[in-house]
Amino acid sequence: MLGALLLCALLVAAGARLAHGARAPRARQGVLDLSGYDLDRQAPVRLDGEWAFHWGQLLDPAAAQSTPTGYLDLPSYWNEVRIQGHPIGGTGCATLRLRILPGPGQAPLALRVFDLSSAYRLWVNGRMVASGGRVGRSAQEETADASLRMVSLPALAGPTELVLQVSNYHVRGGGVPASLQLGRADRVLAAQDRSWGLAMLFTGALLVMGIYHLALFAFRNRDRSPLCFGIYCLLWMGSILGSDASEWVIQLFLPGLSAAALFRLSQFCFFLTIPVGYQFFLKLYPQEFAAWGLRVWQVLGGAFALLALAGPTLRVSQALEVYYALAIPVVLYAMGALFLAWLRDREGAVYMLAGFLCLGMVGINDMLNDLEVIRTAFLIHIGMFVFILFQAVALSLRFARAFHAVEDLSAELGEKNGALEEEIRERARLEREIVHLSEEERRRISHALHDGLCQLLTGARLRCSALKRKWPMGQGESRELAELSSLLEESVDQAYDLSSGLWPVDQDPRAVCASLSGLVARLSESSGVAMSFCQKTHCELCDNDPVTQLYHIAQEAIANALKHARPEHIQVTLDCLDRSTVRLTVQDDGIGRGAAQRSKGGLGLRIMAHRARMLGGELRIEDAPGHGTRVTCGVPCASQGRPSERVREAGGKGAV
Amino acid sequence: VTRVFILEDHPAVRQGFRMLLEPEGIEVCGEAETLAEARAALDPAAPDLVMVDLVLGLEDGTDLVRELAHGDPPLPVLVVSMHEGSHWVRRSLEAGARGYVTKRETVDCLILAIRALAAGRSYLSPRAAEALRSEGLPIR
Repeated sequence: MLGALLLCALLVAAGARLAHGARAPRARQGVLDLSGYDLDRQAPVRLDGEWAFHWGQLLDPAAAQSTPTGYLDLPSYWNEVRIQGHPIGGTGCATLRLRILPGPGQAPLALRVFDLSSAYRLWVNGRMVASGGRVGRSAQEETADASLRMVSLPALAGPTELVLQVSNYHVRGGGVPASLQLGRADRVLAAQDRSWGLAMLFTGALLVMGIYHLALFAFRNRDRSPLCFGIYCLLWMGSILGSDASEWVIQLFLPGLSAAALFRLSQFCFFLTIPVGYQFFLKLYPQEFAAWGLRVWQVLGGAFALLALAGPTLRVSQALEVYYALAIPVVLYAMGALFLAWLRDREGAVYMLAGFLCLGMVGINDMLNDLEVIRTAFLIHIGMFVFILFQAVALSLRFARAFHAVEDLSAELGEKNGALEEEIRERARLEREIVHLSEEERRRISHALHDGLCQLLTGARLRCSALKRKWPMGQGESRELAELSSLLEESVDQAYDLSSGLWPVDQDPRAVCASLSGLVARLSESSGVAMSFCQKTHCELCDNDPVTQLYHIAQEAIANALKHARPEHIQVTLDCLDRSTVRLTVQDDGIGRGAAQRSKGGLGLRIMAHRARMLGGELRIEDAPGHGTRVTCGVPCASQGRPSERVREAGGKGAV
Repeated sequence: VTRVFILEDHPAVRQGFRMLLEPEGIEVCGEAETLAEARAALDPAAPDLVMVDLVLGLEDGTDLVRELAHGDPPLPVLVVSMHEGSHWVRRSLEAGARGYVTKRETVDCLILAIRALAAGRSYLSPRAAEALRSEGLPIR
C-alpha cells in the first residue's frame, strides 16, 4: 500500500518536473535567449515563457511587429488573461510572436508543435512552416485540428522570428496549453518515437487486458465483474487514444481521422469510465459501494456520453469542467470504499486499493491540470497502466487460489473416490458371497430333498405297492393301500419338483441346456402354458460355471411372465452368439411391460439384474416385436466347441 | 427264478425292492450300499442281473455299470435312479447298461424291466425314453 502511495507521489512529481523543465531558458518580453544553450549537445528546449500577444487579431509576420496587447506566458490557455479588467475567455483569436536569439549549435533542427487550441498557422522568419486546421474569426470560419506537426529547420544562423496565429471557437480553453519544442532534429524525433512507443505500450496493455476480461466473461458469464473490467479497460483505451496523453498516436495508423472525431471518441469513452468502473467495484465489493451511486452515475455518464457524441464540441469541452467537479468526489469516495474493503479483508482488496490509489490520484492530477488549477503533466495513461498491473496481480492471486482450491478438492475427491470404490468392491464381494451362500443353500436343500426325502418316500411307495399286491382287490385294506400308494406317489412327485425348482439337480452341473430344457418342460407342464426351448450352442457341455446362473434367470423370467403377463406362449432361447457371448432370451406374447408393470413386486427383476451383473453381463427387458415382453441376458463365454443346434418343444396346451 | 443283485445306498429303497420283487418270483440274491461292497459280494451272489443306482453318496454307480457290462461274462445291468434327465440316461447307456427305469415310475415298469433283461432284451422306461427322444430329435 505504501508502495502504491509512493508511486503516485513519484508520478505526480515527475509530471510536475516534466511540465516545468529544469534550468531551461525562458522567454522574456517576447525574446528567448538561447545564446548560452547548445542545442547540438543539450536536450531540446521548450519555447516557454512570455510571447508577445496580439489579442483578437490574426496578423501576418510583418504586421506582427507592431506593439502587442501584452505578453502571454506559455504554455497556457488565454482564458484568464484580463484586458481592461475583464478575462477574455476561451474563444477568440490571437497572434503570438517570439524572437529567438540563437546559441552555438550547428546541427539541423526540428520544431515540435502539438495541442494548440484549436487551429493555427506558424511562420519562421516570414516563411509559413506549419498549420493545423484553418484559423478563423468564428466557429464557422475555423476548422479545428491540433494534430502533431514536426517542422524541419536549418540551424539558427541569427535571430529567428516565430509568428503564431491561433484561433479557438471549438473548445473551452484557447491558446497554447502544450510547449512548443525546439531541438536537434534527431533528438526531437527520437523523443517523439519514445512518447509514441510508450503510448502504444499503454494502450496495447489496455487492449489486451480488456479483451482478456471480455473473453473471460464470455466463457464464464456467471460473474459480471470481468465484463465490467473489460469494458472499463477498452473505454480508457479509447479515451487515451483520442487524448493528448497518447499524442494522438492513432493518427499514425488512421491519418484520415479528424481532430473532431478523435475529440468526440475520447470524451465519449472518458464520460463512461466512471459508471462502468463504479459497476465493476460494486460487483466486487457490494457491501462497500452504494448501489444508488451506480444508478446516479449511469444517468450522468449516459447524458455526458450522449453530449459527447452529438453536442457541439465547445459545449462538450465546457461540460468537462462540470464532469470533473462531479468526478473528483466519486474518485475520493471509491478510494474510501476500497480502503474499507481492505480493512474488512475482502478478497483482492489490497491490490485493488493500491492500483486505484494510483489511478485515482493521477486522475485527480489530470483533471486539476486540465482546469489549470495545478501545472503538471497528463499522467492518466501511466496511472491506468499501473492500475491494470495491480489488477493483473489480483487476478493471478484469484486464479492461484482457485487452482489451489481445485487441486485440494480433487485430491480430497480422489481419496473419497478411492474409499468409495473400495467400499463398492467390498459390497460386490459380499453380494457375491451372499448369493453364493444362497446358491449353496438351495443346492444343499435340493440335494437333501432329492437324495433324502425323495428316496425315503420312494422306499415307502415301493413297500406300499408290495403290500397292495399281497391283498386281493376289492377288500377295504386294499383300497386303503391303493390310496396310500397314490398319496406317496404324489409326495414323491412334489418333492421331486420342489428339488428341481431349487436347483437343476437332475442334470450335470455343466449341462445348462439340458437343465433349461427340463425347466421349460416342467414349468410348461405345471402352468399349462405352451413353451418352447431352442438351443444354438457350440458345445455339448458348457464349461462356464457361472452360466448356471442363467438357469435361475430363466426360471425367474418365466415365473414373471406367468405371473404378470398372461402369455399363451413363451419362447426360451440359449444362443452362443459369436463364441464369446452366451445369450439367454425369454420372450412371451403376453400383455406387455406397460400393463405388467402395474403389478406389484419388482424384486425378481432386481435379482435377475443382479445375477446378470455378477456374470459380467447385462440384463435387458424390452417390448417384444408385435406384443409381449422380451428378457435378454448376454454373458461372456470362454468355451469353444463344435456347433450344435437343437430345438425342443415342451408340452402344455397349444404346444406344437 | 431270476436272481437280482441290488446296489442302492438307501436301506428303505432296498427294503422296498425286496418286498416288491420276491412275491413276483424274483430272488434278491444280494445287496450292497457301496461300490466296494458290491464288488466283494457280486461273485458269491452269482446274480442274473444287477440293479444299480447312479448316485451312491459321493460314488458314481456308472463305474460299476461299466465294469459289469464289459466283464467276462458280461452281466446285464438295470439302472434304477431318481434322475430323469436325458444326460443321465445317455451316460448310463453309453456305459453299457441294458435298461433304465426311474424311481418315480410304476412298480410294473420295474418288474417288466427285470423280466426283459433276464430274457436277454433291453428295456427303457417311458420317462427315460421321453428324455432321450426330446434330446435327440431336431424339430427344425
